[in-house]
Amino acid sequence: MTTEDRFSMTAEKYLAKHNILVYLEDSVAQLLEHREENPKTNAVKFFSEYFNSLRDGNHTMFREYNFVKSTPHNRASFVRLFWKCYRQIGKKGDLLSIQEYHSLLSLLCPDFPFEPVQKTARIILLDDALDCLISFADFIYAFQVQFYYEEFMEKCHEIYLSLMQTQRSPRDPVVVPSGTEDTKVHQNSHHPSDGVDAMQYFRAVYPLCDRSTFSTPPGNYLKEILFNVPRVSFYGFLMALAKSESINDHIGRLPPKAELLEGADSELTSPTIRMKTKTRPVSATGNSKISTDRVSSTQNVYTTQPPSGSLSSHSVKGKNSHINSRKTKKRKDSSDESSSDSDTESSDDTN
Amino acid sequence: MADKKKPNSADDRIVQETDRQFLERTSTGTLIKDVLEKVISNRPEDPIAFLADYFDSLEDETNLVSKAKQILLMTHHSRPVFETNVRMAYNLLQKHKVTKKVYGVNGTVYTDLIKALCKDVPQTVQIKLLKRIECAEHECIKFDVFCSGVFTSCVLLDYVKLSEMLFKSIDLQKSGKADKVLCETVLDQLRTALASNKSDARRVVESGYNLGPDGLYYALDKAMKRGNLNHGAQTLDQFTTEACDAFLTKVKKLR
Repeated sequence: MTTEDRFSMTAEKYLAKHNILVYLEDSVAQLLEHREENPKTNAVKFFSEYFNSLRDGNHTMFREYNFVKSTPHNRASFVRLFWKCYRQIGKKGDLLSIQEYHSLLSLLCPDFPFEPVQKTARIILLDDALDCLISFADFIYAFQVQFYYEEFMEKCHEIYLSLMQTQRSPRDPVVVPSGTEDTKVHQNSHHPSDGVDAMQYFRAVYPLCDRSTFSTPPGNYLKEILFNVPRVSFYGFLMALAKSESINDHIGRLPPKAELLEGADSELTSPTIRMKTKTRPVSATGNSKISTDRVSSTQNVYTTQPPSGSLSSHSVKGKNSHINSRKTKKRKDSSDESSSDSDTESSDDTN
Repeated sequence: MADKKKPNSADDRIVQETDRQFLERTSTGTLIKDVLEKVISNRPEDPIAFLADYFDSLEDETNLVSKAKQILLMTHHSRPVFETNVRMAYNLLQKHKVTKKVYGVNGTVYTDLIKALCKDVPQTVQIKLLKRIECAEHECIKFDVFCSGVFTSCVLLDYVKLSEMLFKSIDLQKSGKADKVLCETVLDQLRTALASNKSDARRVVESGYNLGPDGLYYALDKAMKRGNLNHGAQTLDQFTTEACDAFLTKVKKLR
C-alpha cells in the first residue's frame, strides 16, 4: 500500500479500509455502556483509553464474538491475546483436546462458537481423528490462519471441491483447463484421492488474493507453498499456510515459532484470568476437568521426543511425519493420564 | 447509535439522564464529527494510532506545546493540509499567556515547540538548528517566521530519518559502526550535492544523479578499490550529525 493510494482513494473507501467507522461506533456504544455504571464518565478520557487499548491490541478481551470477528485487526489481536494468556500451557508442553481449547477461548470471549475450533483441529489433524490431543504451538498457528483468513479458507474449500469434482468426472483427461503436458503427466500418475494438481489449484486460488473484501494471504506466499509440490490436498495446503513463517510475519502479531514460548511472563495477565475463572462458562462437552491430570506430567516427554521434528517441517511434505507425531501423541496421552501433579498453575485456575 | 434510548427505572435515586441527553451534554457528537473530519483530511497511515494520539492530546488541555506538536505531526509536510495544520497550531499557541494581560506567540513557546518537534534528533544537531532559527524570548513571532521554522524542523526530521537509513546501508557488518572511509565518501557526495544552487541547472541534475543508487555505488566502489579501509569507524550519531551539518548550512539564519 503506497502513500499515493491512501490519498487518492475516496474518503468512504479510506474509512472502510481501516474500519474507522466500526471503531468509532463501537467506542460510542461502549461509552454508553460504561456510563450506566459510572455516571460521572469523562467522554474524552474514555475515548482516549479506548483508542489506546485499541492501538495496543488489548481491546478484545471479554468482548462478544461478533465484535472480535468484525475486523482483521481485532482477529489478529485476539489471537495474540490468546497467546499471551495461555503461553504457560505451551511452556509446560501440554497437549489439549479441542474441547479444552474451546473452553480456553470461551474464557476470553464468552460466546466463542465451537466451529472455528473444530476447523482448526481439522487443519492440524488433516481432517481425521478429531479427538486427538494437540500441542499449543500447533494449535495457535493453525488457529491464527483459520480465524484470520476464515472467509478465504471457505472459498478455497469450494474451489478445491469443484476441482476434485472435475477430476472425478469420466472426461478426466480432457477437462484440464489450459493444462500443459507436465500437469497431465502428474495427473495420470496419481490417484485422484490424494489431492489436486498444485499448479492448477494455485491458478484457481490466486485471483482471490488481495482483491477480495476479506483478508487473504499475499499471493507470493501461496506461490512459495504451491510451486514446490506437484499435488496438494486441501488440508495439506491449510497446514502449509499455518506453518508458513512468512504468513505469520505478514499478520504480524505472533512471534516466530522458535520464540513462541520464550520471554518473560510479566505481561501475562494472570489476575484477570483468575477473576474470570469464577464465571467460567461450561464448555461444549461439559469437560470442566480441564488438563488437571495432564498438566506438567507430559511436559518433558513431549519436548524431548522426536515428533517435535514435525513442528519444524514447514512444507507440505511434512504430512507423513505429522501423522507419525500424532500417533505418538496418542500413545503418550494414554500413558500419562494416570500420573498427576496437582501443584501447578492450571489446576489453580480450574478450581 | 446515538438514538439508542434506554428506559430509566423509576426507583433510581439519582435522576438518570437518557443516553441522548448524556451524549448531548458531553458533546460526543461534535467530538466524533471533529475527529472524523481530521482523519479524513489528514489520512494517517495508521488511523488507530492517530485516534489514540488525538484523544490523548484532547484530554490533556493544559499543555499547549504538546498539543501544537500533535497537530503539526498529523500529516506529512508535503501534503496540502499541512498548511492548515500549521495555521491551527499557530492559532492554538496564540492562547499562550505571556504576562497577565498579554497573550500570543513569543520566542519561548516557539523554541519549546521546535525542541519538542526535534526531540529525537541528536542533541548537537538540535542546538545547531536552534542557533539558526531561534528567536529571542521576548520577541513576538509572526506567522511566516513560525511557519518557516516549523517547516524546517519537519524537513529536518525527515532528513535525519533518511540519513539513518543511509548509515544502515553502509554499516556492512550491522555492528552499529560503519567504516570511516565509506562514511566520508557518502558525506562528500552529499555535501557536493547540497552545495549546488538553483541557478546552475547542470549541477542540480548532476547532484541528483550522484545521490542516486548508481552514483553512490560508483563512489563507494571507487573508495573500496583504493583499499585503505579499516582506518577507524563512525557511529550513527557522528554520521547523522555530519550529514545534518550539510543540511543546516542551507538553512538561512534568522538573524
